[in-house]
Amino acid sequence: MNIRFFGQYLLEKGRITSQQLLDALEGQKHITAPIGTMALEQGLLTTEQIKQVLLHQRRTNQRFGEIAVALGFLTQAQVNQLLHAQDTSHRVRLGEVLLLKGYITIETLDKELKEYNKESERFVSEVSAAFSNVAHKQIVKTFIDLMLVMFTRFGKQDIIIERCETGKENVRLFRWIISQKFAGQDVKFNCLVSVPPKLLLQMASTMLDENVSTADDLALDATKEFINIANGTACAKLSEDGVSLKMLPPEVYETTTTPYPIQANDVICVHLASPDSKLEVAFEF
Amino acid sequence: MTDNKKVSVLAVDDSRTMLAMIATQLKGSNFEVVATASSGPEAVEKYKQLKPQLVLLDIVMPDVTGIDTLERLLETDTGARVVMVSSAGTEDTVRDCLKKGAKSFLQKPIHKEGMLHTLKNVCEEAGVEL
Repeated sequence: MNIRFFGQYLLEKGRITSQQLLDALEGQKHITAPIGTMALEQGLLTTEQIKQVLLHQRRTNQRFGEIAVALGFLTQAQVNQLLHAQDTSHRVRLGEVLLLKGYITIETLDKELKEYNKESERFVSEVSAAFSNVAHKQIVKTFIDLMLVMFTRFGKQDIIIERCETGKENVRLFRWIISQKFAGQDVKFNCLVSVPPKLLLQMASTMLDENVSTADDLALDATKEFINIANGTACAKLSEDGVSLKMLPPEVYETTTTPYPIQANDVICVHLASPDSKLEVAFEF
Repeated sequence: MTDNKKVSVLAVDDSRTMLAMIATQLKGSNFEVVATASSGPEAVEKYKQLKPQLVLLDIVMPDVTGIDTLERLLETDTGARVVMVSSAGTEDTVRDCLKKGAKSFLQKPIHKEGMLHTLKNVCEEAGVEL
């Protein structure tokens, strides 16, 4: 699994230095995105087409969008959409800043974006359909999405979404609960993951890379870390969309000895299932 | 390269699982975990005692966070080479860490290749011989 924000991805691949990343992150505040690179990122233009448009631009001094339409690379509707995004977006994609600052070439950006997008493929259709009418949809969707990624790709568990409901009375509490608190500018919530013993041991076995048969301290520590990674990755992903969340370390509860009190009234619960087990992810807003 | 020439690493994480994973992934490389700490204050203590060449520092820890610990470590030694580690590699967090003096950032789950690449880059930039 490799789900990082694009800058982190480039850093770990050694394509940019940490200083260049910092510079680009700071630069995002002051630079407007050129529509050419926005179009490249969205897969509307190829690098070759961008080069052709730029060549024309140098000769004619026309606007990028006008030339792209004249050359038949973009429709007017696509240009309008890009211009609208340029006007309304306060954040500029990191790749564009790296390109403008000369830290990365357009060919490298194109290649790395393709690889990055491939690695970041998500279960969009399944996840979107389940949460079409849910409040805090973006947060719920991203957390569930990344939880599925973690279980499927890292834990080798085939997990599906059974359904999504609201109301604390609908939360299914299994023996173990891993709860983690999050806070952002306009939102505060707990994410709890409730699992039966068998699934807890499977999660611990994944993390420790050995067969774990007892829910001892080490197994619980490993399970917490499993959830921490899934949730943290969701935070990282949300940060790309402008949602910044702080997180606290996860806590674990054994419901047979410590009842877990759901206090919030605004609760969204997602019923999940593996081939031989059930699990629950609930959000207390 | 002989063992005594390996780059010494202090690994800091409140999760024993992560500490074990880091030590395992660095086995057989040019880096060696010479000590571990499960909290920020313990990390600062061990850093003072052992002066490791690199620190791998988790961010989300109870009581004292990794970012606070980064500041303490840099107060102790302005030349400390600290690589932050977190599952929550948000743009804000990465920017914050790098601005505060971290040398780089790793996102969990840690991939052996990505970690070795990052540590190697930090050493090269700092002139630490590998």
